[in-house]
Amino acid sequence: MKASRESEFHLSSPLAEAVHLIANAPLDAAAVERVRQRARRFSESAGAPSARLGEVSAIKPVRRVKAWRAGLAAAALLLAVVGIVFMTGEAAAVAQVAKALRQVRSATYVVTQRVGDQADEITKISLLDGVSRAERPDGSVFIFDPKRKRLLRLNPAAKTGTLSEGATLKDGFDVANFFSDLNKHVTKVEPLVDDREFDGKRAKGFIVDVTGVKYSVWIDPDSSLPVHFESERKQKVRGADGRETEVVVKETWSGFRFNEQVDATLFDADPPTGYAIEVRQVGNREKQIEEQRQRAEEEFRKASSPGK
Amino acid sequence: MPEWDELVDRHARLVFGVAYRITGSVHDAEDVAQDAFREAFEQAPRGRVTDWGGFLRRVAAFRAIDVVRRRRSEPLDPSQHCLRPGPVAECEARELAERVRGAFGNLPRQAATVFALTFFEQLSRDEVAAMLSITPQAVSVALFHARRRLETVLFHKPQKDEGLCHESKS
Repeated sequence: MKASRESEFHLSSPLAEAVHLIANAPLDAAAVERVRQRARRFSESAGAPSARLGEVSAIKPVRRVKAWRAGLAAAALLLAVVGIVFMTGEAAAVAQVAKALRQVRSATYVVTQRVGDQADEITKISLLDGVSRAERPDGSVFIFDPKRKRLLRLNPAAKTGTLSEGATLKDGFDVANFFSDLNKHVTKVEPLVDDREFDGKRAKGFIVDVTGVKYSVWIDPDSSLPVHFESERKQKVRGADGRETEVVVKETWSGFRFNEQVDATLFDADPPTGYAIEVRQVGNREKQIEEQRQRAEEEFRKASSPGK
Repeated sequence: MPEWDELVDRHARLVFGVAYRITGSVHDAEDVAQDAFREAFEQAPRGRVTDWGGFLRRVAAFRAIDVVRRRRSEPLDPSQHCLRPGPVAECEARELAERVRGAFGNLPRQAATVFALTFFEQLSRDEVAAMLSITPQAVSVALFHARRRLETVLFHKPQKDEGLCHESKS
């Protein structure tokens, strides 16, 4: 990676952090391959498979229209109806797990994350009617309510917190969404993981491959609900000295308990009394943003015009 | 002049990367990349393009920014979020990255393009200027406005003009 430009142009620290994250986001290798295959078809369609650039004629490409948007519901339905019947047992299992999780009202489980050779970080997760709660090892608590688009972060020790309104973060710690995403993006499922016993009960294991990242998943063969799963990926991290290194990130999701009684008050995304809460607007502040955009356009026009 | 397949192989990852970093969506990035290659394919017979990498990057950036601008009032499709099962460790950073992309769609087109090529693609000011056929000074002006607007929208901290520190670095 080239030297970072943030310092050269003095981005504020949070913006620089976001820019760094975007600039170093891993690319989906399968998507790159699809781009390559589609682009190659331009010349094939022109009847000149190895045509030189100066010799091919301009043609209209096979536009991959926004069919994925319009057809998403139809595809999901097709997957649910046809896929489960005709796919192999392993491939259907992902859809079945996603389906079983949609019926779940509450869940508790633990996510253990290890970055490189650092100590395990254990996060306790609980879900109730789509609202998720994460208790971090440092004592902080996150409550995410997707319907209200609210993400409440609390630091009980300091009695402070942040409320993000309009938050659309969906992934992260909701196992139902996680499997729903797996189901959408799965590229290959292999029955390569041995069956194992968890808490005295036998669980069926398989590997889910999502664009090169493999997840080892064990499910309860009776309920199709997940029992345990693990993933391992490589990730670049920046050390205190600013240098980047690649580390292995291992994650384990375990200790699943479904549809047990949970305390509903723990899932309230309203700020509790006694806390100093900073409120952030994440979602659509359309009018304000549009005004700012127009001002920026005007300023840019003035600044760029000759003889200003 | 390279053969088409060779050009595609050489630049597919780069073009997709430019589009993905701006849109944050695999699906949109694939569409943008296809548009960019289509434009390259249509431009090829005219023989005017000498730097195909720069051409494709520029077109991909423009098209990706168009996508983000169209998306301004639409919430991101949650299914497009990366499939990273980490609990919350990266939650804040990812949320901020998403907010940056959201705010990005509200920047002037050229400012957004300059910002993306500079900070996402790590190109120098002169490289960006050459790619967009504008002066290095115009790159600085665009960067300044993009940065100020992003910081205003994201952190509600209006920046003063005297923060234009990079102007003297030409």
